[in-house]
Amino acid sequence: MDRRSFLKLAGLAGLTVVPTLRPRLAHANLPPYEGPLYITVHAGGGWDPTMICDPKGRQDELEVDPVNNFFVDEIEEIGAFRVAPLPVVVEFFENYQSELLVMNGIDCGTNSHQAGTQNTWSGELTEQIPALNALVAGAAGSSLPLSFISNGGYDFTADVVPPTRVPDTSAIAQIAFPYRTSEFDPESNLFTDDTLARIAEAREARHERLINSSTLPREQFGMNSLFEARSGSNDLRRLVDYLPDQLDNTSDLRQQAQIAIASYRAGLTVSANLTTGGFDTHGDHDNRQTTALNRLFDGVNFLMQEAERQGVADRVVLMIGSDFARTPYYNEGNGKDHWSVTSMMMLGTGIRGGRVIGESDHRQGPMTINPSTLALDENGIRLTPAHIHRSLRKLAGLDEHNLDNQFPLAVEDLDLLS
Amino acid sequence: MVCMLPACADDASTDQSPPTTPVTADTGIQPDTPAETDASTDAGLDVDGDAPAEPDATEPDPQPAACEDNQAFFEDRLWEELLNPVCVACHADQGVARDSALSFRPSAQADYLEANYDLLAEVSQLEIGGTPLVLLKPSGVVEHGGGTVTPEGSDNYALLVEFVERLAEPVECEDTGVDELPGEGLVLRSELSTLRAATLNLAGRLPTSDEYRSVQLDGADALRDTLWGVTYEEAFFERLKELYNDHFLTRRYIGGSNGVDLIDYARFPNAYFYEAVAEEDGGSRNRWRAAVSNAVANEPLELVEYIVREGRPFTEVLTADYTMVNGYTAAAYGLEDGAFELYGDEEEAAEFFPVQIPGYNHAGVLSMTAFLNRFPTTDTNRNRHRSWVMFRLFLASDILGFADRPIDPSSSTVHNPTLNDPQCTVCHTTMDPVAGLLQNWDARGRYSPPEDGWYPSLAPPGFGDEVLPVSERPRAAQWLAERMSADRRFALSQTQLVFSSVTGIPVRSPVNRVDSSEDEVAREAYRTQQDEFERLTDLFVASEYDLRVLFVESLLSPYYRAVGVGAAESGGMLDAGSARLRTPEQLDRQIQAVTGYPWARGRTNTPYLLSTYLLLYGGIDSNAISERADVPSGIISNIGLRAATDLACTAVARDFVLNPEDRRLFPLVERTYAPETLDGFYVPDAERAIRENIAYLHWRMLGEELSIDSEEVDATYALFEGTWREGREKIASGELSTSLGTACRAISNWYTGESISNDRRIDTDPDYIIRAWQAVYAYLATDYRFIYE
Repeated sequence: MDRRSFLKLAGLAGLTVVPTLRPRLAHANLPPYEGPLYITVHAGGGWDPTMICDPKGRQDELEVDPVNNFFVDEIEEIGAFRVAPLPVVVEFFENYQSELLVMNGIDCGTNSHQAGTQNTWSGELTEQIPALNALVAGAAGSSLPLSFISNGGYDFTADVVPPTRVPDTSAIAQIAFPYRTSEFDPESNLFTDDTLARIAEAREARHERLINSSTLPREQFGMNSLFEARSGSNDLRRLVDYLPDQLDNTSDLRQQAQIAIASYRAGLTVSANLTTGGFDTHGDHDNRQTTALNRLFDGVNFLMQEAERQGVADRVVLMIGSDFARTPYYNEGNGKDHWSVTSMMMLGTGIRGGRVIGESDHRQGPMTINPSTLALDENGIRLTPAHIHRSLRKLAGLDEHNLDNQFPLAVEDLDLLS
Repeated sequence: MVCMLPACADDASTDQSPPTTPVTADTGIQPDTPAETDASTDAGLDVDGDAPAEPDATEPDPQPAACEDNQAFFEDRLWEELLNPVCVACHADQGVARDSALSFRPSAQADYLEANYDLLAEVSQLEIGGTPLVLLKPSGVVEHGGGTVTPEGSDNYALLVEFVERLAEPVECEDTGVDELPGEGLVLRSELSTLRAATLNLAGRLPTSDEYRSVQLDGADALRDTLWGVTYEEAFFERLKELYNDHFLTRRYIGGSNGVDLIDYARFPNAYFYEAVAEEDGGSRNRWRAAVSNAVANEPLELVEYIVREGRPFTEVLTADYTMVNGYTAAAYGLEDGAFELYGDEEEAAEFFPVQIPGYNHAGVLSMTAFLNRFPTTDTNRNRHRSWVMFRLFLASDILGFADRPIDPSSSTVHNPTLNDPQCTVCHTTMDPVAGLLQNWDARGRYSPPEDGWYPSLAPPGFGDEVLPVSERPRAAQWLAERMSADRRFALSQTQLVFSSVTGIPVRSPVNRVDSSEDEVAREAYRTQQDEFERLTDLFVASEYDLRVLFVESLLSPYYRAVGVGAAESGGMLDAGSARLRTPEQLDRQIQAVTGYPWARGRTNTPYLLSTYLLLYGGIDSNAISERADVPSGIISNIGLRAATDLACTAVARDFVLNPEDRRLFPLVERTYAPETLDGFYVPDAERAIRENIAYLHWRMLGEELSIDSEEVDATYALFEGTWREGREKIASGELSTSLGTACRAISNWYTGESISNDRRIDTDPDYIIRAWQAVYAYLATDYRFIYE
């Protein structure tokens, strides 16, 4: 078998799904990314929508096996929404009622943390489809050094873009200027500009020689990946200009938000996974779920405030979801176990807010909706993460991108967002 | 004239001395076998030109038909052509025929093909009127829920007939006694190159001159023997634990009270022994608290090391009737022997040793608190997560992969769905019995048998077809360990774990449906990889589970040694070639091996790649980030650039201070060697020496065997010369100084801090040669072959 045939076979096996080479950009700073910033906030462990946006209260103290311990008449109505009587939740809905889109009664089809997280953020139960954030980053700016920031959750990329993990900012400052012998001294470059250009030219010529002589698909993939990652690496220094001197140390979620917004502001980031945990409340559900919700909404509020401060709030697409939901009843330990009918919330550019789509019944069973009107319809269809992701892909313009064909979602095309 | 051959090396060479190396085309390095070719990059790989002539179509095939035994017939013909595409849709745990006698095992189970062969063979014994039901039902002669799917006379019917006939008269093929290596058509690394790469991989060092010489003289046997020797080095054991922690993740509990808080205080009331220290001595208290935590966190990994170090069967990772403690945990567990006493010898206390804790039901890692806490359970989870981990880590099976369809919990109307609803039982029938075998260990990893017995609503505890006898309940975990370790899938699981970890080649998933040419290619690649796993597993089992075998043989595998594809490769080796982004730990070790210096702020600081940049470079913290990055990001790229810059600045001048025989980077040149004299006269001997050193650096840093007039050496020489000319001109014009930057001067010994004498120290670079070599170092240290393995 000759080299060409072997590599063709490799292509058939998906082994040469490599980042597209952009040799012309190898020495040039990439233009800052200015499209929408896609942010997912993952409530890790499986949240309880009946304590948020799909509230179920008990009728009275005599009700046996209630969904929740709060009462029906305590449920708040804010704009188009019915909201559970938790102060942090009420405050959030009051702030964002006109922008917020809530989808209830989503059938995520699993009680597995891993599969549920995958489904929520890709629209597919198994790890075959990249996370939405990976797709939008891959389509809009895979060469950017921080194109897709991941703090966990579901960040499978199918190699359409490398995810970047960013734990703190001090290290960023040190590597933003890799040729300086003293990172804070602009005059301390080890090499002259002419020497740097000579090294870069030699490096690129070397890459061409290696890639042209390589006959192994995995090796070619590695060479192209490194070349692609390096093509945007000089732009990292822009991030330093937008990072605060000191990160907020109130919570991890706040820090994640600061880095994501600063990196986007620097034109380096297309999407970011933000995560916070504590939702897997198999015991002492009410207290632990409330604590986790407080942390979640505190972080989300902070994120939007930070986006305002940096002047990019009108370009944020925010999606909030979880692995799945909790059972519509308590177990023996006052906990709630896994349940597959859940909710999602989102807001931002291109999303028509002030609406609720879908519903669950009084015991949190999924109710079907009319695929055209989106109203409840006994003869309709169940809303699934795949439907939502098809809409989100359209919002991001992915429906006209070959990545959409490469990773298709075979469900009805619903007009959920506009 | 400098001798370039390993065989000419100075016998006094030590591990850190620059090995002589094959850098010229006439060094006599020959391919080891007809299949092997040197990994020369300068010549370019022209496999097209090696294509054999097309065979004459009129000539009969001189090869006799290959023997196909019963299992091969089943896997390659019956399963691929009939059972998988036609029958499995119904005859599986979630299919409509799940309650029939024929319900095939899912491909996520490691030995599913063997299990399904046995199942069909068993069902084939059922007959009506002397004819097996497996022929009568699918052909529609007797009622078949799926209708007529293999009419008599069809090709598929013939396959079933042949299977039945083969059961009566089994076809057995002659065992050649030799496991075939895959990848006949691959171009492999030379043995010297393999030695270099594998030694770096296993122990984070470069081979010594003696090792190079031995392999060059004695070939493949010496290569295997040398690598075997490397597996006895301390650095290998660190690599071993690092690798297993990627899977066990127990180092999450290192530091602070993370580990000590896991100890069952009711059983080990001495757990917090260090609190007895005087109130004002907080420093000692904190240090010893952390030491206990570290020991608890490392307990499973220390068991792995002990088993391998002592040459014990690796099945003991599950069956060991002892645990590993050091002085700190011996004290915490209240043991008499070896326990640390306050203000005792801390260095001695850090040494691990095996011990049986009285009354403790040891079962290798299964009874270790760090392992059990890392894979926790809850009252409602009932050890199912732990069961999934058992299958994934030790039985090469992903239980969750058994279910290939989404579930709909709200549609389940049956009582006790995990026991009775097919969409649940597909996983739970396998998962729950093993979960029950871990019943004695509670959510916090404490030995605490359930007072009222195990949940009666769950499938009874057991393994495979065997149910846990009541008398064995107190030692259910040991009972499980004995069975798992005796299962062929255990050996396969460790083969896959070690192979994928050391080569960087991921384990392929089976291809269940072949609907396209893509699927066919993927299936062929999967099968080829499975064959290699079987070969390695056989070696592992034959060695009585010596884990070293898997390390050495994985690195000698054509998968790891492949550097190109030749004319004869059929396409099954698509995964060949390591091509793995080095982990931060690997890159850190390589930098030190190549330059002699760690990449660190100071000699007492932890290297950058193990601290500041560990996570940014794609490493793990065993907690929130538990999977390594395998594709470089912009940040990873920049870290590589910074590492190259820092070492170019500091290591180049330091190296020139040393005597030539002690240098790691520049043994063949002096810092006065320039291509021309100040008067502009060409100095051919200087250029030759510079080229020789460049070729040497290509070998030392990248593992490339090049001649000094190769294209790659030309390119690197051009970089050197261009930088040197630029610097010389700018010094002459006053644009650049003759002084080296402060950070780049070699004025004191980095390790000892001792000042270097004035006649040897380097703080200036009047001819711009140091800085030209810095550029060369930076160029090579950011190369693909430095960043990737």
